[in-house]
Amino acid sequence: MFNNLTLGRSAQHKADLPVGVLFMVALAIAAACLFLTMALIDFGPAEQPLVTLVASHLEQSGVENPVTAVLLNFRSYDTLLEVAVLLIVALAVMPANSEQSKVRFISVLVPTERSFVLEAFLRWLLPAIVVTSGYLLWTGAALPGGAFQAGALLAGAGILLLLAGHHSFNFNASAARLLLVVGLAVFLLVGAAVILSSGIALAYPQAWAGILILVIEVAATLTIAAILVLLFCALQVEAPRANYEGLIKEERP
Amino acid sequence: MTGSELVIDLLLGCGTVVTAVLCLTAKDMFQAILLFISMGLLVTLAWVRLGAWDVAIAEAAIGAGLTGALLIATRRQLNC
Repeated sequence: MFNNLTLGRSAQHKADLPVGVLFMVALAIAAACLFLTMALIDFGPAEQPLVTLVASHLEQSGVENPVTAVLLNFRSYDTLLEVAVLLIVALAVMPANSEQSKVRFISVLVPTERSFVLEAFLRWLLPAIVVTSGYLLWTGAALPGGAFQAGALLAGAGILLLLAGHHSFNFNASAARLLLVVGLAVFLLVGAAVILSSGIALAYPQAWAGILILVIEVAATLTIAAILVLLFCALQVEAPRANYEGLIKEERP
Repeated sequence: MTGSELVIDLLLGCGTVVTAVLCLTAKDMFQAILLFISMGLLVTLAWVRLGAWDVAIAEAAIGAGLTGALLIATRRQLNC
């Protein structure tokens, strides 16, 4: 797969298509774009029944931000599946190594090359990122923000920590595994528990909706951050580099 | 919509398309990654202009920030 990426960039591929065909394709794409733009302009500002529908039911959702209301209350099923997809991604890239499960989640090590600028910068930046992430999570109830944004920021902090080289994460540790699943687990638990009061899965009772959404979002933030850092970690592992080079050289004509 | 706002919107829209084309046609992979990150930032501004603040924050954090870091790490693995 990776070899196709590099091969696709070579000039050999371009030469396969004659100029006339390329011109026709460009013309067709341009015409399609023009048609879509004209259609969009002609369409004008349409009535948006969903906007009024969400606005009229906003006080039932437990939050004031319509986006959060849709994501975590009205269409929480979609978000639940999104978190599940992220977990599947994490399982796909996770280095499966049962021996490492005894090693601690965060281990301190001596970096091979130190970057003093990054270290000094991180001392100030890391607390700021963590606080900002918490703010984004909390403010998601009333203003733009939420679990995905907060989790992504937190993951950025984790990646910067990895780049500084003083710490390494081991995602086979039991604490890390807990972080990876806590978002989905809490979401499923809350979704199932509300059956007791409302009779329908994921239909939160109105009085509790705000606090339940916050609990789900806190867990989802931790999971999203952990999974995104895991993605970066999976790429940091020293791969058998010689193998890759050999394959690319062989397939190049 | 006033004239200056229209100019900003047009610049953002055209800038996004131009950066995307440059990113796809770039010979050097590192150059392509940097152009991809710049395109992400322009798209973020476009979302802001459209009033979609939630999407703008997510695009800035994931689209421009994390994807860039992942792509650069991948490039190091490919060693090209």
